[in-house]
Amino acid sequence: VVPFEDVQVLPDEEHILIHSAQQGDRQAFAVLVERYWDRLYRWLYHLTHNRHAAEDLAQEALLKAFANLARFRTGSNFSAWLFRIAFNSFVTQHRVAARTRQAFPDQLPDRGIGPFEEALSRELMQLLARAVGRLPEDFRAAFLLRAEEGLSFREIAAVLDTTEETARWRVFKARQKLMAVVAPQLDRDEA
Amino acid sequence: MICDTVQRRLLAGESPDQVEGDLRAHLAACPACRDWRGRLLRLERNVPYLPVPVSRGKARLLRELLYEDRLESLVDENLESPSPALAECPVAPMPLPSGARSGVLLTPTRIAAGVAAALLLLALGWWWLHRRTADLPPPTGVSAGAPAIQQQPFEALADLGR
Repeated sequence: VVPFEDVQVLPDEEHILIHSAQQGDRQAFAVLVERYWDRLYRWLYHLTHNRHAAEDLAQEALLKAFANLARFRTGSNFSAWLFRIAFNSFVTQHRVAARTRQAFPDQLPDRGIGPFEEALSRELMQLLARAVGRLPEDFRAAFLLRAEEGLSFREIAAVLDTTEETARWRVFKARQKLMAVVAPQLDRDEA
Repeated sequence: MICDTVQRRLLAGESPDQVEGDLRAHLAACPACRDWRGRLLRLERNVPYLPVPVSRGKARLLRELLYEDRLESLVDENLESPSPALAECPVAPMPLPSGARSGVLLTPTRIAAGVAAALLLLALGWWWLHRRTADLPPPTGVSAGAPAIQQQPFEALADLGR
Protein backbone atom coordinates (compact mmCIF):
# COMPACT_ATOMS: atom_id res chain seq x y z
CA VAL A 1 0.00 0.00 0.00
CA VAL A 2 1.35 3.41 -0.98
CA PRO A 3 1.18 6.00 1.83
CA PHE A 4 0.03 9.35 0.51
CA GLU A 5 3.03 11.08 2.13
CA ASP A 6 5.23 9.38 -0.46
CA VAL A 7 3.51 10.71 -3.54
CA GLN A 8 4.78 13.65 -5.48
CA VAL A 9 4.66 17.21 -4.29
CA LEU A 10 2.31 19.84 -5.72
CA PRO A 11 3.17 23.41 -6.71
CA ASP A 12 4.75 25.73 -4.16
CA GLU A 13 1.81 28.09 -4.22
CA GLU A 14 -0.41 25.38 -2.85
CA HIS A 15 1.96 24.78 0.04
CA ILE A 16 1.75 28.44 0.94
CA LEU A 17 -2.03 28.22 0.93
CA ILE A 18 -1.99 25.07 3.03
CA HIS A 19 0.47 26.59 5.47
CA SER A 20 -1.72 29.69 5.85
CA ALA A 21 -4.81 27.52 6.30
CA GLN A 22 -2.97 25.54 8.95
CA GLN A 23 -2.51 28.83 10.83
CA GLY A 24 -6.29 29.33 10.69
CA ASP A 25 -6.49 31.55 7.62
CA ARG A 26 -9.98 30.93 6.26
CA GLN A 27 -9.33 32.91 3.09
CA ALA A 28 -6.51 30.56 2.22
CA PHE A 29 -8.67 27.53 2.88
CA ALA A 30 -11.43 29.12 0.77
CA VAL A 31 -8.99 29.20 -2.16
CA LEU A 32 -8.37 25.50 -1.65
CA VAL A 33 -12.12 24.87 -1.57
CA GLU A 34 -12.50 26.88 -4.76
CA ARG A 35 -9.73 24.85 -6.35
CA TYR A 36 -10.83 21.39 -5.29
CA TRP A 37 -14.59 21.43 -4.96
CA ASP A 38 -15.45 20.74 -8.61
CA ARG A 39 -12.83 18.02 -8.93
CA LEU A 40 -13.96 16.27 -5.77
CA TYR A 41 -17.63 16.69 -6.62
CA ARG A 42 -17.23 15.32 -10.17
CA TRP A 43 -15.37 12.28 -8.94
CA LEU A 44 -17.82 11.63 -6.13
CA TYR A 45 -20.78 12.12 -8.45
CA HIS A 46 -19.39 9.46 -10.76
CA LEU A 47 -19.03 7.16 -7.77
CA THR A 48 -22.44 7.79 -6.23
CA HIS A 49 -24.58 8.92 -9.20
CA ASN A 50 -26.36 11.10 -6.69
CA ARG A 51 -25.90 14.88 -6.63
CA HIS A 52 -26.82 15.34 -2.97
CA ALA A 53 -24.62 12.50 -1.83
CA ALA A 54 -21.70 13.80 -3.88
CA GLU A 55 -22.15 17.33 -2.49
CA ASP A 56 -22.38 16.06 1.07
CA LEU A 57 -19.32 13.89 0.65
CA ALA A 58 -17.32 16.72 -0.93
CA GLN A 59 -18.28 19.06 1.90
CA GLU A 60 -17.49 16.43 4.49
CA ALA A 61 -14.09 15.76 2.95
CA LEU A 62 -13.17 19.44 2.83
CA LEU A 63 -14.32 20.08 6.37
CA LYS A 64 -12.47 17.04 7.65
CA ALA A 65 -9.41 18.27 5.83
CA PHE A 66 -9.84 21.70 7.42
CA ALA A 67 -10.22 20.19 10.88
CA ASN A 68 -7.17 17.96 10.41
CA LEU A 69 -4.87 20.33 8.54
CA ALA A 70 -2.46 20.29 11.44
CA ARG A 71 -1.85 16.59 10.75
CA PHE A 72 -1.12 17.16 7.07
CA ARG A 73 2.60 16.77 6.49
CA THR A 74 4.15 19.57 4.50
CA GLY A 75 5.71 18.23 1.36
CA SER A 76 3.18 15.48 0.74
CA ASN A 77 0.46 15.59 -1.87
CA PHE A 78 -2.57 17.56 -0.69
CA SER A 79 -4.68 16.42 -3.61
CA ALA A 80 -4.07 12.73 -2.87
CA TRP A 81 -4.70 13.37 0.84
CA LEU A 82 -8.00 15.12 0.10
CA PHE A 83 -9.20 12.46 -2.32
CA ARG A 84 -8.22 9.82 0.21
CA ILE A 85 -10.40 11.48 2.88
CA ALA A 86 -13.27 11.68 0.40
CA PHE A 87 -12.86 8.05 -0.59
CA ASN A 88 -12.87 6.95 3.05
CA SER A 89 -16.10 8.85 3.63
CA PHE A 90 -17.59 7.34 0.50
CA VAL A 91 -16.66 3.81 1.57
CA THR A 92 -18.08 4.38 5.05
CA GLN A 93 -21.36 5.65 3.68
CA HIS A 94 -21.53 3.00 1.05
CA ARG A 95 -21.40 0.36 3.74
CA VAL A 96 -24.22 2.06 5.63
CA ALA A 97 -26.64 2.26 2.74
CA ALA A 98 -26.66 1.67 -0.97
CA ARG A 99 -27.40 4.83 -2.87
CA THR A 100 -30.34 5.25 -5.16
CA ARG A 101 -28.85 5.57 -8.60
CA GLN A 102 -29.87 8.40 -10.82
CA ALA A 103 -29.68 8.35 -14.56
CA PHE A 104 -27.07 10.52 -16.17
CA PRO A 105 -28.49 13.95 -16.94
CA ASP A 106 -29.48 14.89 -20.45
CA GLN A 107 -27.81 18.30 -20.38
CA LEU A 108 -24.41 17.87 -21.89
CA PRO A 109 -21.74 20.52 -21.75
CA ASP A 110 -21.21 22.56 -24.86
CA ARG A 111 -19.03 20.73 -27.35
CA GLY A 112 -16.79 23.76 -27.45
CA ILE A 113 -15.72 23.00 -23.90
CA GLY A 114 -14.48 19.54 -24.82
CA PRO A 115 -11.37 18.56 -26.74
CA PHE A 116 -12.44 20.20 -29.98
CA GLU A 117 -10.87 17.89 -32.52
CA GLU A 118 -11.66 14.75 -30.59
CA ALA A 119 -15.09 15.68 -29.23
CA LEU A 120 -17.64 12.89 -29.25
CA SER A 121 -21.19 13.23 -30.46
CA ARG A 122 -23.93 13.63 -27.89
CA GLU A 123 -24.95 9.99 -28.31
CA LEU A 124 -21.40 8.78 -27.86
CA MET A 125 -20.96 10.90 -24.74
CA GLN A 126 -24.12 9.34 -23.32
CA LEU A 127 -22.81 5.92 -24.22
CA LEU A 128 -19.48 6.68 -22.60
CA ALA A 129 -21.20 8.06 -19.49
CA ARG A 130 -23.31 4.93 -19.16
CA ALA A 131 -20.32 2.68 -19.75
CA VAL A 132 -18.30 4.50 -17.09
CA GLY A 133 -21.29 4.32 -14.75
CA ARG A 134 -21.49 0.56 -15.17
CA LEU A 135 -17.87 -0.11 -14.40
CA PRO A 136 -17.26 -1.90 -11.12
CA GLU A 137 -16.79 0.68 -8.42
CA ASP A 138 -13.11 -0.05 -7.79
CA PHE A 139 -12.27 0.16 -11.48
CA ARG A 140 -14.32 3.34 -11.90
CA ALA A 141 -12.68 5.10 -8.95
CA ALA A 142 -9.18 4.27 -10.18
CA PHE A 143 -9.88 5.01 -13.83
CA LEU A 144 -11.43 8.42 -13.11
CA LEU A 145 -8.50 9.41 -10.92
CA ARG A 146 -6.28 8.61 -13.89
CA ALA A 147 -8.39 10.08 -16.70
CA GLU A 148 -9.83 13.12 -14.90
CA GLU A 149 -7.26 13.93 -12.28
CA GLY A 150 -4.20 12.72 -14.14
CA LEU A 151 -2.91 10.97 -11.03
CA SER A 152 -0.10 8.46 -11.41
CA PHE A 153 -0.67 4.83 -10.48
CA ARG A 154 1.29 5.49 -7.33
CA GLU A 155 -0.96 8.40 -6.37
CA ILE A 156 -4.08 6.40 -7.21
CA ALA A 157 -2.83 3.62 -4.97
CA ALA A 158 -2.35 6.13 -2.16
CA VAL A 159 -5.89 7.48 -2.56
CA LEU A 160 -7.54 4.08 -2.75
CA ASP A 161 -5.35 2.56 -0.06
CA THR A 162 -4.02 -0.18 -2.25
CA THR A 163 -0.85 -1.19 -4.08
CA GLU A 164 0.51 0.42 -7.20
CA GLU A 165 0.06 -2.82 -9.14
CA THR A 166 -3.58 -3.10 -8.08
CA ALA A 167 -4.16 0.50 -9.16
CA ARG A 168 -2.59 -0.29 -12.54
CA TRP A 169 -4.73 -3.42 -12.88
CA ARG A 170 -7.94 -1.54 -12.12
CA VAL A 171 -7.19 1.16 -14.68
CA PHE A 172 -6.26 -1.52 -17.21
CA LYS A 173 -9.55 -3.39 -16.69
CA ALA A 174 -11.60 -0.20 -16.82
CA ARG A 175 -10.01 0.85 -20.10
CA GLN A 176 -10.47 -2.63 -21.52
CA LYS A 177 -14.18 -2.68 -20.67
CA LEU A 178 -14.75 0.84 -21.97
CA MET A 179 -12.98 0.08 -25.22
CA ALA A 180 -15.12 -3.02 -25.68
CA VAL A 181 -18.30 -0.97 -25.36
CA VAL A 182 -17.39 2.36 -26.91
CA ALA A 183 -14.76 1.57 -29.55
CA PRO A 184 -17.18 -0.10 -32.02
CA GLN A 185 -19.39 2.99 -31.87
CA LEU A 186 -16.34 5.21 -32.30
CA ASP A 187 -15.58 3.31 -35.50
CA ARG A 188 -19.05 4.01 -36.83
CA ASP A 189 -18.85 7.63 -35.72
CA GLU A 190 -15.59 8.08 -37.59
CA ALA A 191 -16.95 6.32 -40.66
CA MET B 1 5.60 -7.86 -31.44
CA ILE B 2 2.01 -8.95 -31.93
CA CYS B 3 -0.83 -6.44 -31.94
CA ASP B 4 -2.59 -7.95 -28.92
CA THR B 5 0.50 -7.46 -26.77
CA VAL B 6 0.84 -3.88 -27.93
CA GLN B 7 -2.77 -3.11 -27.13
CA ARG B 8 -2.52 -4.69 -23.70
CA ARG B 9 0.57 -2.63 -22.96
CA LEU B 10 -1.23 0.51 -24.06
CA LEU B 11 -4.11 -0.32 -21.73
CA ALA B 12 -1.73 -0.95 -18.84
CA GLY B 13 0.41 2.12 -19.38
CA GLU B 14 0.01 5.21 -17.29
CA SER B 15 -0.82 7.32 -20.31
CA PRO B 16 -1.58 5.91 -23.76
CA ASP B 17 -0.11 9.01 -25.39
CA GLN B 18 3.33 8.36 -23.91
CA VAL B 19 4.69 5.15 -25.38
CA GLU B 20 8.06 3.50 -25.07
CA GLY B 21 10.50 2.94 -27.91
CA ASP B 22 9.50 -0.59 -28.96
CA LEU B 23 5.81 0.29 -28.86
CA ARG B 24 6.44 3.41 -30.90
CA ALA B 25 8.20 1.33 -33.54
CA HIS B 26 5.28 -1.07 -33.75
CA LEU B 27 2.74 1.75 -33.96
CA ALA B 28 4.70 3.39 -36.74
CA ALA B 29 4.46 0.19 -38.77
CA CYS B 30 0.93 -0.98 -37.84
CA PRO B 31 -2.02 1.19 -38.91
CA ALA B 32 -4.53 -1.03 -37.06
CA CYS B 33 -2.79 -0.51 -33.71
CA ARG B 34 -2.37 3.17 -34.50
CA ASP B 35 -6.12 3.51 -35.05
CA TRP B 36 -6.82 1.46 -31.96
CA ARG B 37 -4.61 3.75 -29.87
CA GLY B 38 -6.31 6.78 -31.42
CA ARG B 39 -9.69 5.49 -30.23
CA LEU B 40 -8.34 4.82 -26.75
CA LEU B 41 -6.93 8.35 -26.56
CA ARG B 42 -10.13 9.89 -27.85
CA LEU B 43 -12.20 7.96 -25.34
CA GLU B 44 -10.00 8.89 -22.41
CA ARG B 45 -9.70 12.55 -23.35
CA ASN B 46 -13.46 12.91 -23.36
CA VAL B 47 -13.93 11.50 -19.88
CA PRO B 48 -13.32 14.87 -18.15
CA TYR B 49 -16.23 16.26 -20.18
CA LEU B 50 -18.80 13.72 -19.06
CA PRO B 51 -21.89 15.54 -17.84
CA VAL B 52 -22.59 15.92 -14.15
CA PRO B 53 -25.40 17.96 -12.55
CA VAL B 54 -24.51 21.47 -11.48
CA SER B 55 -23.51 21.69 -7.83
CA ARG B 56 -24.43 24.60 -5.57
CA GLY B 57 -22.54 23.15 -2.64
CA LYS B 58 -19.36 25.07 -3.25
CA ALA B 59 -21.04 28.47 -2.96
CA ARG B 60 -22.78 27.33 0.21
CA LEU B 61 -19.57 26.09 1.80
CA LEU B 62 -17.64 29.23 0.81
CA ARG B 63 -20.38 31.40 2.31
CA GLU B 64 -20.19 29.45 5.57
CA LEU B 65 -16.44 29.69 5.48
CA LEU B 66 -16.05 33.38 4.76
CA TYR B 67 -19.17 35.23 5.81
CA GLU B 68 -20.89 33.26 8.51
CA ASP B 69 -19.70 32.15 11.88
CA ARG B 70 -20.97 28.61 11.60
CA LEU B 71 -17.82 26.92 10.39
CA GLU B 72 -16.83 25.36 13.72
CA SER B 73 -20.28 23.90 14.29
CA LEU B 74 -20.33 22.70 10.68
CA VAL B 75 -16.99 20.99 11.19
CA ASP B 76 -18.29 19.40 14.41
CA GLU B 77 -21.43 18.18 12.67
CA ASN B 78 -19.44 16.59 9.88
CA LEU B 79 -16.96 14.97 12.21
CA GLU B 80 -19.56 13.67 14.65
CA SER B 81 -22.05 12.34 12.18
CA PRO B 82 -20.88 9.15 10.49
CA SER B 83 -23.17 9.74 7.55
CA PRO B 84 -24.29 13.35 7.23
CA ALA B 85 -25.49 12.77 3.70
CA LEU B 86 -27.97 10.23 4.94
CA ALA B 87 -29.20 12.57 7.61
CA GLU B 88 -29.73 15.45 5.22
CA CYS B 89 -31.19 13.64 2.24
CA PRO B 90 -34.96 13.52 2.11
CA VAL B 91 -35.99 9.93 2.41
CA ALA B 92 -39.39 8.53 1.54
CA PRO B 93 -41.09 6.74 4.44
CA MET B 94 -40.44 3.04 4.41
CA PRO B 95 -43.53 0.93 3.72
CA LEU B 96 -44.60 -1.28 6.61
CA PRO B 97 -44.27 -4.99 6.07
CA SER B 98 -47.60 -6.78 6.23
CA GLY B 99 -48.50 -7.92 9.74
CA ALA B 100 -46.28 -5.30 11.36
CA ARG B 101 -49.07 -2.97 12.35
CA SER B 102 -48.80 -3.25 16.12
CA GLY B 103 -45.87 -2.99 18.46
CA VAL B 104 -43.45 -1.75 15.83
CA LEU B 105 -44.77 1.80 15.73
CA LEU B 106 -44.67 2.61 19.46
CA THR B 107 -42.82 5.86 19.17
CA PRO B 108 -42.33 8.05 22.29
CA THR B 109 -44.89 10.55 20.96
CA ARG B 110 -47.49 7.85 20.54
CA ILE B 111 -46.82 6.40 23.99
CA ALA B 112 -47.18 9.88 25.54
CA ALA B 113 -50.46 10.43 23.68
CA GLY B 114 -51.75 7.09 24.91
CA VAL B 115 -50.86 7.86 28.52
CA ALA B 116 -52.50 11.28 28.25
CA ALA B 117 -55.68 9.74 26.82
CA ALA B 118 -55.77 7.15 29.62
CA LEU B 119 -55.35 9.85 32.29
CA LEU B 120 -58.11 11.90 30.72
CA LEU B 121 -60.45 8.91 30.74
CA LEU B 122 -59.63 8.22 34.40
CA ALA B 123 -60.26 11.84 35.32
CA LEU B 124 -63.60 11.84 33.48
CA GLY B 125 -64.58 8.60 35.15
CA TRP B 126 -63.71 9.93 38.57
CA TRP B 127 -65.61 13.16 37.91
CA TRP B 128 -68.67 11.29 36.63
CA LEU B 129 -68.67 8.95 39.58
CA HIS B 130 -68.26 11.79 42.05
CA ARG B 131 -71.06 13.79 40.48
CA ARG B 132 -73.57 10.91 40.51
CA THR B 133 -72.82 9.82 44.09
CA ALA B 134 -73.00 13.41 45.34
CA ASP B 135 -76.62 13.54 44.08
CA LEU B 136 -77.66 10.43 46.12
CA PRO B 137 -79.12 10.71 49.62
CA PRO B 138 -76.69 9.71 52.39
CA PRO B 139 -77.21 6.12 53.55
CA THR B 140 -78.75 5.51 56.97
CA GLY B 141 -76.41 5.33 59.96
CA VAL B 142 -73.80 7.59 58.51
CA SER B 143 -72.93 10.80 60.24
CA ALA B 144 -73.86 13.93 58.34
CA GLY B 145 -70.30 15.27 58.40
CA ALA B 146 -68.72 12.38 56.44
CA PRO B 147 -69.24 12.02 52.66
CA ALA B 148 -71.20 8.87 51.88
CA ILE B 149 -69.06 7.96 48.87
CA GLN B 150 -65.90 7.72 50.88
CA GLN B 151 -67.38 5.41 53.49
CA GLN B 152 -69.58 3.09 51.39
CA PRO B 153 -68.68 3.51 47.73
CA PHE B 154 -69.86 0.08 46.58
CA GLU B 155 -73.30 0.48 48.10
CA ALA B 156 -73.62 3.80 46.37
CA LEU B 157 -72.66 2.24 43.08
CA ALA B 158 -75.19 -0.54 43.57
CA ASP B 159 -77.89 2.09 43.99
CA LEU B 160 -77.11 3.56 40.63
CA GLY B 161 -78.48 0.50 38.88
CA ARG B 162 -81.93 0.73 40.51
